[in-house]
Amino acid sequence: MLKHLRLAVALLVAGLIPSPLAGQATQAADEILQTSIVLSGDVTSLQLELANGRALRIQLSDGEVLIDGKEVGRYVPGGLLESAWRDLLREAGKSELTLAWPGFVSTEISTPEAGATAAIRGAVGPFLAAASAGPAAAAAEVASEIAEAAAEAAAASATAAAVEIATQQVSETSLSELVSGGLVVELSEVEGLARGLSRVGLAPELTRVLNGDLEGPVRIVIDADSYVLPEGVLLDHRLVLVQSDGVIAGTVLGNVVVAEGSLIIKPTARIEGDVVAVNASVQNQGGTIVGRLRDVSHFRPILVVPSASQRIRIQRIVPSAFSRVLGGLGSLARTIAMYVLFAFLGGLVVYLFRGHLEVVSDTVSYSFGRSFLAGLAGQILFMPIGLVMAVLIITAIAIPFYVVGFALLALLGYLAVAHAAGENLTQHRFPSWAARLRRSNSYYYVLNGLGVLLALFAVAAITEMLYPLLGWAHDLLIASAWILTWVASTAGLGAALLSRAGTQRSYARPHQIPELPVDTLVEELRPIEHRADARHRAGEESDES
Amino acid sequence: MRASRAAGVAVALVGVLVGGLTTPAAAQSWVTVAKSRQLRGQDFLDVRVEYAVGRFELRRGPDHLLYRLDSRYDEDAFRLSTNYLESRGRGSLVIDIEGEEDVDFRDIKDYDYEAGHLRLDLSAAAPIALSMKMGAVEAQLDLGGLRLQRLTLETGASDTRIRFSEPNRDVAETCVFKAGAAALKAVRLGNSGCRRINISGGVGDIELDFSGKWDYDATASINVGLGGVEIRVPAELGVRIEKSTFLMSFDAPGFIKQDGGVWVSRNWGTAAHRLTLSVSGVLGSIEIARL
Repeated sequence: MLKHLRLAVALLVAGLIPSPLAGQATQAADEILQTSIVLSGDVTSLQLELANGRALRIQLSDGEVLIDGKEVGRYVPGGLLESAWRDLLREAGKSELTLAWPGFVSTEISTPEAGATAAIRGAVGPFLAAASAGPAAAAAEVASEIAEAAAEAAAASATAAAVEIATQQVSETSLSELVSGGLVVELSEVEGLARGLSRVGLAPELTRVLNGDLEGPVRIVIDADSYVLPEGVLLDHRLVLVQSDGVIAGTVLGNVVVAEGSLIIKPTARIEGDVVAVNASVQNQGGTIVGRLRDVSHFRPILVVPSASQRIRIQRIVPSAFSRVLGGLGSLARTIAMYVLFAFLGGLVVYLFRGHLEVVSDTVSYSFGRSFLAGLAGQILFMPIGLVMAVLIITAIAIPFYVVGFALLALLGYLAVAHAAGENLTQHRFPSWAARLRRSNSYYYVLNGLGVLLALFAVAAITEMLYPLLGWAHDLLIASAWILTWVASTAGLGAALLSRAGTQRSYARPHQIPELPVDTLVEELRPIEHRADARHRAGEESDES
Repeated sequence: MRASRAAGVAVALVGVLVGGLTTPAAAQSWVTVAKSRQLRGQDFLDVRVEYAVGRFELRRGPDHLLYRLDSRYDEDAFRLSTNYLESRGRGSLVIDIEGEEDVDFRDIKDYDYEAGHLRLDLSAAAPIALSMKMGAVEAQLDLGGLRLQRLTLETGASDTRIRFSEPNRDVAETCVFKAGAAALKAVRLGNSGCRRINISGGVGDIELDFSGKWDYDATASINVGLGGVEIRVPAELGVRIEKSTFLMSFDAPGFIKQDGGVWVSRNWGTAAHRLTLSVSGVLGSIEIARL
């Protein structure tokens, strides 16, 4: 019974999947639907997508020549075969494979690459013969060259490998689905996988691709040469084809996703959900799609690597505790570096432009709301003004000065906010006038204010080390730190604009002599005076003695 | 003395700021991807292209190929996605080359973005609806000879040249061009077969040449923010201009001014085919000349 079943499967597949042998391929040769070429530094590949849903893939990579994933020979990197192959693909990309093929066929390639060359010619040539027999002008010439190549291929020992690939074992994923090569994975539900993937940020993509449908079983076919769901067969799963080429003639009770492959939907097919293409091609030849036929661009494929034992390894990058601590320390170091840099710049500004800085700082303190709105307006208008300057050619030359001036103004504003924050902090931390007087200088204000502005980043860096426990707090702190930074920068910029870089006090706190609480101050200073007198008297007595 | 010291420090600060941006250019891994698809009875093709940075060329390809694309991009910085969907003879091709999310654009100095390209050939045998979104792209499009039914082009900071070298083999109901901070030049628009043309520009120069085969009437709406608009219309075409501008110079020699900001060509009443131009803008200039 099983033998009959296997025979039936083999016959069915033989009908569905054309062999690349020269004799049989003639019929299928004009059925190339799509040609895909990839040329990069270390990989070159050609893929022919056929009308029956199957594809032929030839790839040269790491010294190996692979046809449909099977090694059929080796090539010398930079050698004759690779050079001719790259020329072929380059020309085919610019024009057509049929026109570029004779050049590849006519290139003489000696051992040890002859076997691999013959295998490539034997696998591709027959598909091009009939295609070029149509409208192409040089049809006869091309066909004869291809026939010659096919004969050569037949004589070569590597052809055996090609035959083996063509008749590779057909596996059955169920009693009725047919899969050639590749790997089939069945998941009872995707929700758990989605939860796991959410930690690495892939869940939204998965949900998007499956159209939010995460409940129920899903069948995933990976890297298969062909997947066939014959007519009359019902698949009560959702179906995901990854780097596979499929034909659906039966019924699928759910969404069908094709990622980096191709799918043909036969007239007898019925798909109850959506058909989603992710960097793929889908051809509906008249089947019924109850949902929508749609495409999803830029899906980051899950890195699935089938091993020799056909197990799945899903590469998930989960940072270790050590790397988290290192990351947190790095963030802390960056925050400290920022503090040092701004402290240095702040010191310079205080030393050189203390008056200007104090006016801007006073403007922020006295007219914070107005400063913030002015800064916001400045940020919004920055680009349009720049564009106007660019359009009016006379002012275009001033654009670099405009940009640098704006940046310097923003820096002055940020430091002024730090100054104002430091000044307020000092007043609150040291209610004692004597203590406050000792700290009444702009250097102290700026350093303290910068500490306040950057403190949230430092705390966030510490929580980053404990991310599994305090992830929410880290995210909250980072968001708060950036919002605080933006608010401070905006208000500082606005204050710098309102005060004309600290030259006008229109919106600053008016100059006034502080009403010193003299009595309190005298009381606070009295012990200091007493101590000074005592020291003075003690000194006189010692002199006398 | 204090001022000169301040100036010195300012220069030093600028040096620090600018120096911080001049990191060495990142290594680039170029990859070439080419795809072509045979024409197999498709009776319609919807083409959508989104291209972030590089050079883009589009032209008519061999009739037996539905489309052919040839792209070259840095796979460290960009991602290419191509989807082809077909149902009951109606095809949909989506090509998208966009930047990777984690690209560090601080390394933009010396980055050879222009070495990337996308070339797309489309069949003249199938009716086409074409929609394109360009970022910082230098685009050269020859849409002549296609069967264009709809056209939408949105550009960012790009230099776009469109040419209809041959008459459109179909009727395009609408053609929409939206240019951001960009230069847009469209040549032989008369061959486009567009019944309604809508052109809007943010900042930049727009050059429109309406020559070509006119066997139909059309309307064109041109809206510009900042910049110059240069329009050339063939002498045999009847042209009416409705102007609504602010701080824009307007020069239309040979046209007759009517009430309500309207100018008409002398042959407006007698011309076999007519073009109605509605022009609006904020700042810049508009020049209209007869060919």
